[in-house]
Amino acid sequence: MLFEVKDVYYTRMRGTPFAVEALKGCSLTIPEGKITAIVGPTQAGKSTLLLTLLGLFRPSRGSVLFRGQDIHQAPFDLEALRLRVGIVFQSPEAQLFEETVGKDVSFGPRRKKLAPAQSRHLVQESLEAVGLPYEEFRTRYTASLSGGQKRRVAIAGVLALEPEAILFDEPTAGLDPQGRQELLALLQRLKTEHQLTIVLTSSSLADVAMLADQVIVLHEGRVVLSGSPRTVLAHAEELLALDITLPEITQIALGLRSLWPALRCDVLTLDELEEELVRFLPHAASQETQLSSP
Amino acid sequence: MIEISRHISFGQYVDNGSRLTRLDPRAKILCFALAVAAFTYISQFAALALCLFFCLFLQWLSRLPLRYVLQGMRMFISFLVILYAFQVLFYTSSTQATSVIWHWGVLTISWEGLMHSTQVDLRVIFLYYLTSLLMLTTSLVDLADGAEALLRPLRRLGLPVHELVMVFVIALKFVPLLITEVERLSIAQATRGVRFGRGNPWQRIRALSGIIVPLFMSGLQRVEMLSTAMEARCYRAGYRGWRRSKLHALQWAGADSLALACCLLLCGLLVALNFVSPF
Amino acid sequence: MIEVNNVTFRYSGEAEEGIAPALEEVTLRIDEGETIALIGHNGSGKSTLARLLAAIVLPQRGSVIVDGLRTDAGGESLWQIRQSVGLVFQNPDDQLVTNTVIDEIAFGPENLGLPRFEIEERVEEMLDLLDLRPYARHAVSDLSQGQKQRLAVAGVLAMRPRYLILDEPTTMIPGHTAEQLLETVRRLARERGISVLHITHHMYELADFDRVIVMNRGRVLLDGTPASVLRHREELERAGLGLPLITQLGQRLRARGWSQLPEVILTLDDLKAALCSLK
Repeated sequence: MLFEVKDVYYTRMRGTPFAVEALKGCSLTIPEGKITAIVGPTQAGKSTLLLTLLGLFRPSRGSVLFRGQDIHQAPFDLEALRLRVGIVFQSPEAQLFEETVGKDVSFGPRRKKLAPAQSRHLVQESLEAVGLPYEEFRTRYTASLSGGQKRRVAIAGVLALEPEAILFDEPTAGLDPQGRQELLALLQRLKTEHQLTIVLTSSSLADVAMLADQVIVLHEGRVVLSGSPRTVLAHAEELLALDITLPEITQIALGLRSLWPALRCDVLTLDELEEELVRFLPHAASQETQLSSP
Repeated sequence: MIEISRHISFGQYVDNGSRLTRLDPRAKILCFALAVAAFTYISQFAALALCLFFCLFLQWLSRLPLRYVLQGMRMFISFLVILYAFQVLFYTSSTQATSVIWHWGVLTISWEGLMHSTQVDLRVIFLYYLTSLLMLTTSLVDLADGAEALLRPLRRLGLPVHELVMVFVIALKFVPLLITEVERLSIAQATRGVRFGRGNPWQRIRALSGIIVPLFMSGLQRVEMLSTAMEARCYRAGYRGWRRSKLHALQWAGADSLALACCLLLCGLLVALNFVSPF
Repeated sequence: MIEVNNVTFRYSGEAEEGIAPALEEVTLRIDEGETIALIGHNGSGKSTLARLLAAIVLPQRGSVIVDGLRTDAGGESLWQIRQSVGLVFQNPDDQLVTNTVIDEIAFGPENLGLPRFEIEERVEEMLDLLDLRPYARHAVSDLSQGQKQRLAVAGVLAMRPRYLILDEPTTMIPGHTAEQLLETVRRLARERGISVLHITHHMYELADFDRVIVMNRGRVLLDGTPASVLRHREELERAGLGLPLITQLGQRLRARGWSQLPEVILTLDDLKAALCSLK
């Protein structure tokens, strides 16, 4: 296990009239080399959970373990953890601060005082990993990029730190359908080609159902459901009640249940739904003729 | 640097229905101006003690948790402490300092220096307290409406009072947004290996520039979008013959007159006390 | 009625760089009380069209005429157009001007110089219509994204526009919060005869609109009822748009022999009805 979260409590803005209990007895595990999606409505505590994993927030109760070691116990080096586990925040495109793409991505390697050649190599690898050709983009001004490109540069900036795992906070928020697809494909590639552990948050299962190996559903600072996307989708009605957006295909399946209550709603693709539906439909007249005609 | 918003209460408004929140903003602004003037004038410890009582009374009226208000002042006070040290060490009075306690080169700690610096800092703390209390108990719109109503006579002199107040309101609207943005940026930077408050001054400035540049860029973008949005809703600042109406009618009540009278009395008392008190 | 006649629009600086204009020779008409979904890829010119209709930018060639007033005529008519064409932005944070919910709704009517009782009436009305009553006294910064978007709509509707333009209001809020918002807007449009132009890139949102306009590279590609537009599968795919899943499902079942199913199925209810008839 990369991370283990054990019965964690955390209150944001503690000691002010605006205090919110963000995590209330949250327990979960994050396996290595997999994609874990943390899904929940807004204010469920998803972002707080990510920051707690990195030790940026210290839980008021409970513990966070990284490879079995408590990250808030004495010998553990929190700063070293933050170099091994990167994080990409919501709308990371707003956080680029260097003039050019090359400078922004090389920011981390320069901090680590790597030799220029090594740093250059890292920047090149990171940019190409996110699908931006190095020679073409190295000298481009960050201000001249499109929103989607900026988001990729921000991700490259984290990749250049050579992390073992990356946490993404709402990586698809504010993107159009095409941008969404491209970003999800990028996450998949990072996992398979770079053997990275990936944790992402989302308020919608639509984005993660096809991508995640494990889904954890968070509600009011607690884990209410977890398992493979299929196991979680089997609870479609409960998810809807929790204000979680379902994949379009699940919504259709769920709607058709009023006709056939036994219809499965843990379908992920159009093909699956089609096959499932065919089981319930009466045989079509023309279908029989089609079968007999050749 | 994490959760900065927890430590800054400036610009936040807590609508808890206390007597102070319910006062007419004009009364609050007038009382505030009077108190600021009186607090700035006084120079005796006896009068400062009265100020303390006054602040405690306001604190009680506001029904805000004392810890919260003080927490908001923490960053400010640590800044004052440094300032205090400088004031004491480099104090030069017009008359010769008589009671030198410690002396080394240009640095001197004298009894007069200590007294003087303590007074100055206490006054500054009280003034800061008054300002943050005004913000905590008054919504921005009330504050703007009150200020506009009080400044109205200046329109005769050709001053664009309404536009100035609107700029002020929008600037303040961005305060909570800016704070969350700074918070996000500093976390993002921390996770990319930046260590705030470490290294030589140059490194510190470099670390800060990583926050200020994107903050400035997004600020500019926001202002541009917002002015478009305002014009799309028929906000026509600077157009001749345009008259805006107001939803809120300011209503002066008995409590407001009472508050103003009390404030006047207190200021008179402060000045008198300052005059007769021997220390 | 809004008429867009042969409009070409280019952002400044794009001509030199050889970039195609954002809009090229666009002609269309929006009648009173129509609800229209405007769909297209990023860069297809959707948002530019919205800005032209709301008279935020002016066409370089051709004209936009709102109820007989040209947007480039200048003077008073500009403000009349902006009052009758309400624009809701993609990100509510760009649009919300003031600090509290009530003041935000009142902002537009105040700009119109309406009498106080009228503003109060409209604020009350909008609080109920958009389910904002529980948050009436809240600070805008404390609202969720979905609540902020409803507030943005309330602020625009309080000006009683005849045309409501929603510029991708559903990208920043979760799926079914978006659905609820659209449902409310459509209901209001029906009840009050307001025309709605909803800009989106989600194909599944088309079904509940009277009319669909598909844009591609600055031109109008398709224009008609949702069912008639969805018959042009190949053209849609060339514009980077796939059919809604529900339509695809219906067509797959048809291809497998259930030929009684209609060619274009738009909504879940349509699909259920069609499948029931097979039972």
